Amino acid sequence: MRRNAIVGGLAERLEVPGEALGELRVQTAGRTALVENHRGLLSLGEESIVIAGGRGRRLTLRGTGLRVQAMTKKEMLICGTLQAVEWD
Amino acid sequence: MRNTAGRRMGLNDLIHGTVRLEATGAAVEELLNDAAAAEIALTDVESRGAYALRLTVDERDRAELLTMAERRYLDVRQLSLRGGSRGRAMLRRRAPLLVLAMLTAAGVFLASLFIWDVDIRGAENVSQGRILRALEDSGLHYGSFWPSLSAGELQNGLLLRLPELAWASVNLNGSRAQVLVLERAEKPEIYRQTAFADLTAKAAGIVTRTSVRNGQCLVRPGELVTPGQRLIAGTVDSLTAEPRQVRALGEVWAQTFHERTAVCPLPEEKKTAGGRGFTRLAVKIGEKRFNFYFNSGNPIDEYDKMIHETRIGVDGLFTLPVSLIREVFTEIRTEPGREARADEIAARLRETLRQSIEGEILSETVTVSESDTRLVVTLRAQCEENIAVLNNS
Repeated sequence: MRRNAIVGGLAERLEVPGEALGELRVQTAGRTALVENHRGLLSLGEESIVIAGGRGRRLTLRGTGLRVQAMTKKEMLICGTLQAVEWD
Repeated sequence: MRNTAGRRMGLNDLIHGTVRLEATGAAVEELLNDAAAAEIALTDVESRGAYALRLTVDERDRAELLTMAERRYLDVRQLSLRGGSRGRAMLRRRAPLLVLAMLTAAGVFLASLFIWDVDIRGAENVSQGRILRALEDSGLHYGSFWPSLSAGELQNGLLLRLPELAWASVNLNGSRAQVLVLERAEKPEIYRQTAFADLTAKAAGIVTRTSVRNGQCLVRPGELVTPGQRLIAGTVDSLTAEPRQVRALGEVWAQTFHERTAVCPLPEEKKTAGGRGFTRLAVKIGEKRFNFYFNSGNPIDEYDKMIHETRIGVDGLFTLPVSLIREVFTEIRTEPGREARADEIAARLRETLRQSIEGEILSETVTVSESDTRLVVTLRAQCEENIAVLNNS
């Protein structure tokens, strides 16, 4: 967690986007969510998708009819009715 | 076209091919992480419960993904294959169809480079045939290669060859040439108001009334005049000076007598439409005609023929040198019709006479006589008309 705080602080001080330094980032728009800099899929279900963010961070997307529309090494496009985005 | 996940099949799917797979086993998500780590693009990942998922990958990544699944002790089943090797095999099997489609497309493209339809508008007195001949002399004819034609040169050629035209425009639109013309207005008679001229009689008659606007009237009502006789003189006498030379203007109305005769072959019978009929179909490609009927040698003299020709093409886009021809034959009934023929000729004579006089027909008689082979119709009419015409000599 300390390292996360350092990276976050550095990004803020250098005024660069966090994802440029490898931070997990999620953008939602309507029925679509774009997850960048992920470290893999931890679980996949129609009502929740859990994504690893590196350094112990986890992103949980909750909703209905969720599915991974496309997935590459760095990015993941998730479609469905999103109800919550939770960070652990 | 849609794949099993409901996604529209894209160009990538068609060229590279995509495989829809179903993986089952414990920790099935790890297969996705392995694939992502190996930079294999996954699409349409769909969870099918805790131990199964479906995904789509490019056909070229299938083998690598199967190896990964084997390492994870997962069972993988192929659900469908789109495009790629399957598409290429399908195209190979249907090569003749593809070649035919390409040949058709090439044919349409080639046909659109030639003129197959010439549409002439605006011509009333100049016949379409003359305009077509002038266009042909200028280089535009049925089947000519339009990219080598110049609309400006065609317009100039048309105007040079047909002096009756005041303006012409040639628009080459694909296989269609649209020719718009404007005919030259007839030059009005130009004369000097002060030029000396008499008015003379163009026909013999009995003068009924006169109206003189310039000149000296030489006739009175009731007087008999002969053709060429001076009616209104351009020389006006003066009591105090020399006679003045003026241009005579006015009207002299007279009762005239006209006789018109027409001779035609003696009609045996009159034909009227009605009765049964039939239709024949044909296709014309270029100048060649292909009939879709047999027994074309059958006599069709007893039938009235109407020809409907439809050219194949898209209006304003292209026209193909192919026409569908429908010939509708209607049986003609024959009836005796000498009286009808005589009436028809008399009506024509009456119309011709009416157009030739500047006045009206007061009374008329029609006589019809027959010889062995000829029908003679004579119209005698009494008219009232203006017989004064300008005589410059």
